[in-house]
Order: sequence, then structure tokens, then C-alpha cells
Amino acid sequence: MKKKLSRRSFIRGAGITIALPYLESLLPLSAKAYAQGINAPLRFIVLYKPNGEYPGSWDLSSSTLPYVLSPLQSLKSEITFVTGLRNRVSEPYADGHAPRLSCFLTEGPLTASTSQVSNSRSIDQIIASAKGVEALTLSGPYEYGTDNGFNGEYFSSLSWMGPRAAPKIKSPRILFDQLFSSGGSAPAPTALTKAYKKSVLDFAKDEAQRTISSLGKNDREKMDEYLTSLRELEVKINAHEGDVIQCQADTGRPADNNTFENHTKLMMDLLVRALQCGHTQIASYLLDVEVGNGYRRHHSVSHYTGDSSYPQQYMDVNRWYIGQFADFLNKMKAVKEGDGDLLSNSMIIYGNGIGNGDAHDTRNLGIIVAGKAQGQLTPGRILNKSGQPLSSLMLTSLQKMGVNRNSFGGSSNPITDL
Amino acid sequence: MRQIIKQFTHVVFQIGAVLLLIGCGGGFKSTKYQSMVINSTGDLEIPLGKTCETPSDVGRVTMHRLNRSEYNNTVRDLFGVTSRPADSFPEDGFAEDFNNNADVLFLNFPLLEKYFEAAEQVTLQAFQVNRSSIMTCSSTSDSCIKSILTPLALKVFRRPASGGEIDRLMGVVQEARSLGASLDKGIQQALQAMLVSPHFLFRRVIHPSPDQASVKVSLNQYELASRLSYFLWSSTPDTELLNLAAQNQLKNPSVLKAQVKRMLNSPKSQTLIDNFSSQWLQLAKLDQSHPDSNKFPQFTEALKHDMVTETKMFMKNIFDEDLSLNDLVMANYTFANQRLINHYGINDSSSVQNFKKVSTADTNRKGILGQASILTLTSHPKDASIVHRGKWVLKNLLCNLPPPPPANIPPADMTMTETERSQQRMSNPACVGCHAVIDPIGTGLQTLDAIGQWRDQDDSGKALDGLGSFPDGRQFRGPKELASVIASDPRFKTCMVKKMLTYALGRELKNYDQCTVNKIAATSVGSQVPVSGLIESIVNSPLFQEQRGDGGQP
Repeated sequence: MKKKLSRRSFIRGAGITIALPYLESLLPLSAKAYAQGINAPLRFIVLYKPNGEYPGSWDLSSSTLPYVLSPLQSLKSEITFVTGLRNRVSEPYADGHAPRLSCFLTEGPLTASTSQVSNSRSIDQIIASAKGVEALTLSGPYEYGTDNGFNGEYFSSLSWMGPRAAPKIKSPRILFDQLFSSGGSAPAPTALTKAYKKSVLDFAKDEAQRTISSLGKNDREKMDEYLTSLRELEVKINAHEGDVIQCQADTGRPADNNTFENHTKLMMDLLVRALQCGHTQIASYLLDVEVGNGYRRHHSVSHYTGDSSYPQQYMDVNRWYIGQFADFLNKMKAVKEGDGDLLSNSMIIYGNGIGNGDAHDTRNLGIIVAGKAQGQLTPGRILNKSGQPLSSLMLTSLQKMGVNRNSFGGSSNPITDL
Repeated sequence: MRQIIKQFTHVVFQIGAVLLLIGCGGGFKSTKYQSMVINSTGDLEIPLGKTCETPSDVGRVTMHRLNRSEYNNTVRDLFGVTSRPADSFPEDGFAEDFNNNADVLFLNFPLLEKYFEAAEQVTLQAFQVNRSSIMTCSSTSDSCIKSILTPLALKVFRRPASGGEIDRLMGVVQEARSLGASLDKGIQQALQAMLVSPHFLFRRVIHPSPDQASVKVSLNQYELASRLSYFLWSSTPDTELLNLAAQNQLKNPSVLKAQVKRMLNSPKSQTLIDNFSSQWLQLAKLDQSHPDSNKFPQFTEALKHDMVTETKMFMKNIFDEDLSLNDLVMANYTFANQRLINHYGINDSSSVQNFKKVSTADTNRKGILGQASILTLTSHPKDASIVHRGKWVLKNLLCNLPPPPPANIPPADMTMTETERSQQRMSNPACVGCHAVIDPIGTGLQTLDAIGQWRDQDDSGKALDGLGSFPDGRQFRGPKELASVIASDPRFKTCMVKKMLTYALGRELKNYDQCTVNKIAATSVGSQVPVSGLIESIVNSPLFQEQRGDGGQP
């Protein structure tokens, strides 16, 4: 049941997400104003880590956090552990990994084949639309090819425009360039340079428009993607210099090839900067694809029955991710915004759509909610929501972020004590 | 439920209609699945009510965006630009094993910006290398500008530009001139415009009724030249192909045959190894393989690199020497350097450091399933994987991949060996439906460990007999006998056709393609047929040379 793509969904799907500097620049506010606490926006961020958890490794019964979670010890007052949720939306769909991720933020229905995956819109995109802003979609560096007879997008997509996956930024360098065009140091293009570029663009646009009427349906969709992207480029070329947000990078332009560890750190640093500078308010970051071995041999050791050393290795990897998350929270906290900080003005979900990784279990998900969402959340607690659907958390998120929804993914019961 | 069915639709292409309703899951009796596998010719079905006497639907290929490899090769072959500008483009999507599937080659704003940057870069480099061949006259008269632009547009657009297109390109030159540009700069502007235009970035087939699925057309000469060159070279048609197209000669069977031969003899056909073969065999997965360094201290990055080199040289030899694709599984030779010779324990006294052809006749190995690359990428870090190897054979050599496992599988017992876990799957009614097909293939490869070295016993010290079987009762012992069983399996023939046809067309195969697949398999794959025979049959088939309208049908 392939949904016909509307014109609008093309525009949304074709990459505006990433064209932040000039679009967000239309917002009247700057990072400078946020720092003074004036109208600092409410942010929503999702960080997804693949391949599940080792059973029992999230034992929260003692006041000291268990090994896997120990990097968060000093941040306990900023976070709430939500345990026991069940990823029901993902259950009808084939494959142990892919739907757990694909349905983490969506409500289905989902269809997947070798050539295409269709899904409903994910909550980050729903929130972004409701706010009239664009969501930032970040990802780890690795691709996932066709497997098990499914398109790789199925294993690699957290954010969905509906029906297609949102385009992802998978390189810190590309993210840097989008946020701080030309590294913030290149001279503004002259009128003459713009005129030359415009002339080339006009030719391309004219040719595409002349061609499109002679194309069949699928080819028209391709040409539509092309034309939509051309129009975005046109906007960028025409943008006045003054529109560029004066929020510079605090690091140099990242290299093209990074280790997975460096990639993760750079993406997180740039994400904090993007939030701080008002480049984006809504973001998702897929730390690694499902079935990924981005950090060490994450997926291999998640099937921990393979060797007696795997349980420890599996926990080591998951602890490393928690450590990255802790660093991210500390960086968010360090950005002051009036009386609060970037973290207190945010709602952050960290988690995984798989419980026990070896069993590809949909139950007992390990989820952390961080931030105060401008006073709407009371962190510092442990909530056991055993058996309740993950969709309840997503519904809660929508409501906290100001989206008028009474149900999501089959749940009409928000988590009221978050 | 409807959604679920839809979600499983791909399964129809893989296993057959019965599974659509039953899956491999709970309570499913293996006998039914097995009989389907035995009777199947692979993952496509002949549509109900149709016979192979009347294959009428030639399908259609969506307008093809150049992928990264094609872009790099194209600007290299057009202008001698070897800087590989597309390496900095966002990665292309994969479907059906290959990253040249038109339906998933999307275009978005970041990519378009890269196209604009690359066009500028390519143009400047083209003028550095090739200025004299582009600037064939130096006056600013319309006739001079036109005489420069016309041959340039022919090369870039892979077809003659229309009068209107040339006029509009002249408009770009004139606009630049009015901004104070020199003639060179004006032509550079026009070349940049060509390089970001849809005529360069997309390959399309002109159709008189593009939304009429019932109307089919033959590709015109230039469209055929492009389809041919992007199949065999992942690049733009050269002057010879364009000249033949201009002379209306390309569809002459003897001319076409000669061109295929010429193209296969060109070094540019290396893309059949780097793109087609590597993607088909999933060699990139080896990058993500991390054999346990305590257990396998002999596994180094250098050895991993050798493994890839071996398989690529092996495939290249098949194409270069024009051998039968049966060699893929049946070859009694491989390519190895000293490190691999030691790795395999091959008896070879010549001690040469560089790669060379070596006989495997006296070893336990044969063909691709004896190669460490494939054996490693289908292994767990510490042990060979029965399931991954069974799946690899079913997917890549027999095109008969079972559906993925269901959710919430109970965790396996970690105290068991790989063989015992397999036996556990085989005794679980929820698993056996599929694993009765997958595991006995993988079991037959258990005498090769996680990095492809021979072993006679597993980690627990239990002797491995290498016995394996197929659901129809065919039994084999060890990788060599498995190779023979695969080579004689009718699915192997059709699978070779499917893989290459999918890549040649750059589209997913559909049920209506099965008749063509069968027909080509019957005549063009086998121990006596060289690989060029398969390529020729594909190039000559209506699927390659014709196209129907769209009409929203898949």
C-alpha cells in the first residue's frame, strides 16, 4: 500500500532538514539571545543505540548504578530511568533488529522490501512540523546494505518523514559545513559569483522543467526530487549575507574519515553547538545502525552465547555508549541559558528498541529520559513501566512538546508521572 | 493483517506463495517448505496463468541517477579528470545487492550542492588537461561557439543535443560574456551547466506514452549505447559507441556482439569486478569481520587484504579468460601469495611473494566456497557460523534466501557448540521450517574455521565429518562435494542470470522476468558456456533493449 507522495512530502524529504543555516536564519532569535534566557526554545533530542542490552545489566536496585550505567552516576539527578517498556509497534514485522529501530519513534504500519521501506512519520518529524521547524537527522558513519531481503534503510533509519526515511547526515564534515557554511571563514560570495552560479542553475532548472512533462510517474518523482533540491539551492544563493547566523564553530572543520569514536564525539559536539546556536531545536542521532559493529564488535558480542567472554564485552560496549551519552549531557549542561541551561530546556530520550539483544526481545527496553523540558519533567527517578508500550512514552513526548495528540501507536495512555 | 501481508510481499519473490501465508515460523512443517525449495527455480515465480511462450512484459527501468562510481568513471572518460570528485558525495543506497538500482538512487539537496561543486572542479580540470580539444576555435561568433558546444554536449549528454538545448547553452555563454567573461570562461559556464543538468546526471529512456504500461518501445541507439556502457564499464559510452549509434549500427547483431567483446577486453571492464562481483559476493562485509585476536593471532589486516585480493583476482580471471561461471564454485585453482599459500597449507615449493595462480586440486578446497574471504565474512568472531554460511549459499549462489527469523527467539544455550545449537534449532518446530534448509548446508562447511583454515574437529574437540545435505535428499561431504551439488542445481544457473541481469538493468527483477531468466539460463550458463555468453544473452534480451511505460505498475 504505497502512499502517494505529496508534493509537500517531497519537499520535506528532499533534504531541507540539512539546509539549516539559511532556513533557521529566518528565525528572529539568535544564540546570543538564548544565552540571556530570552525565549530559549524547548528542544527535543533522541539518541538511539542499537543491539539491545545484556540481561540484568540495568539492575537499578542499589543506589550505586550498575557497571553499564556507571558513567551516569554524577548525572542521576538529571535523568529518569524508564524500565520495562515494550516495543509493541515493531512486533508484527520481520527481522530481529530492523523493525525495533524503524518503529522506535513511529507507529507503523510499516512495509519493507528489497527496494523500499515505507513507514509512518516519526515523532521528531511530527514535533518539528508542529513547530514549523526542520528536524536534524544525524547518523553513525556506517551503511547497511540489503540483507535478509530488505533494503538497508530498514536497519539504518530512526527518523522517518513518512513514508520514506529522513535523509541523514552521516559525516561530521558535512554537518559542520551545513552548520557553519565554509567553516565560517570563507569570504561571502560576490554578486558576480552569485550571478555565474545562478546562470548555471537557471539552465538546469529550465531543462528539468522542459523534460518533466515527458516522463512517467516514477521518473517524474525523480525529477521532482531534483527540482526541489534546485529550488533549495536557489534560496541559498539568493540569501542575503546578513541572514547567516553569527554563531561560529568552536572547532576546526572535521576531517573526512574519522574513527567511529571520533565520529561519535564530533557529531555530539556539533549537535550541542547546533542546538546552542539555534540551528535546530529537534534532532535525532542514530549512534550506529542496527546489527552494527561500529564500536568494537557490538553486534557480534550481543549474541553473547557465542563465547564466555562475550557478556563482558557486550556490557563494555554498552557502557561505552552510556559514557558518550554522559559526556553529551555534561556538554548540554555547560551551555547556560538564562537561569537554566541547554539541558534543562530539553527533553532527551536515550535508548534502544531491543531488550535482550541475543533474543531480539521487544520487552524490557532500557530507556533514559534526560532534561527538564523547561520544568515539565522531574528527573532523578526510576520508573518501572513493565509491559507498557513504548508508544506511551512517545505519546508523552508529543504532548510535552506541544503536539495535540490523544493517542499514538495504539497507546492513549501517556506516562503521567514522568 | 493486510499490512503484514504486504510487508512480507518480498517473500513471494524468494520462496513462493505458500510461505506468504505460513512463513517459516511457529509450527510450520519443514516438509512443505522443503518441497517448495526443491521445486523452485529460485526466488521468482512464473505469474499464474502465464506461460513462458508469451513473455510480453519487458518491465521498465526508472530514470537512473549516476552513482558515485559511475560519476567518477564518467568524468574520467569524458575529460581525463582522475580526481574522483564523487568520493565526497553522500553514499548511494543499495537494493538487491547492488548500488546501481535506479529506484533507490535518490537525490537531495546536499548531493545537489556537491554536484555544483564537482561541476566547477571537473570543468577547471578538464580545461587544464584538455583545453585544446574543447576550444576548437577562438572567435566569439555564434558559429564558433556553436561548433564548440555541439560536440561537447554530445559527449556530456551521451546523445546529440537538440537545437533548443544548444540555443539555451549559447544563452549561458552569452550571459557570462555580458558579465565580462572571456570566451573560455563562457564555455566553462556552459560546461558546468551541462554537468549539473538532468541530461548528464540521469540516464533515461524516451517513451511516447510514458504512463502507458501497455506500450513498449525499443531503446534508441544512444540509449542502448548508454545502457551497454554503464553495464560493462560503469561509465559513459566512448566515441566508438557514439559513432555507431550515430550510424544506426548498434542494433546490428554482429556489431553489437563485436562491441561487447571489445568492451570486455577494455581495462574499463574492471568495474565488473569492483562493482558487480564485489557487491554480489558481499566482499565489503569482510571489513566488518573481526575474528577474535586471541583465537586467531595469525589473522592480520594484511591477511584480510590478501583475502579480498584473492577473490577479486579469481573473479577477474573468469572475466578476462572468458571462463564458465561454473568455475565460480568448481574451479580447481585460486590466486594466492605466499601468506595465503601458508594460510591454506597448499603444497607449493616455488615460494613467490606476489599473487599467482595456484592449483587447489590436491587440497580440500574448490571454487569460491574454499576462499578465506567468503568463509571469514560468514563467521562469528570465534567460530564458523552454520547459519551465515548456509544463508550465504542460498542467497548468493542459489537465489533462494529464506525469510528472516521471527521476533523474540529464545536465547540459545551458550554452553553448547555451534553444531549442538544447530541441532537445537532443528528440533524446535518454530525454527526447523527454515533451518532444515539453511543449516545442513552450513554444516557441510564446518571443517573450515572462522578464518577459512582447515580443521578436523570443533572447539570442543569433537570430530567434524563435514556431512551436509539438501532438503531433497542430496548429500555431500565437505566443501568440494558441496560445490558439485551446487553446480548441478538448476537454481545455480538461474541465480547467475538473476544476479547479472539485476546489475545490468539496475532494477529489481519481478515475477514477469522469470521466463526471460529461465530462457537465458537454459542456453547461456553452464560448464561449456563462457561468461561472455551470458553477457551477450542479457544484452540481446528484450529486457535490456526494450522498455514499457510506467502506469504505476511495478
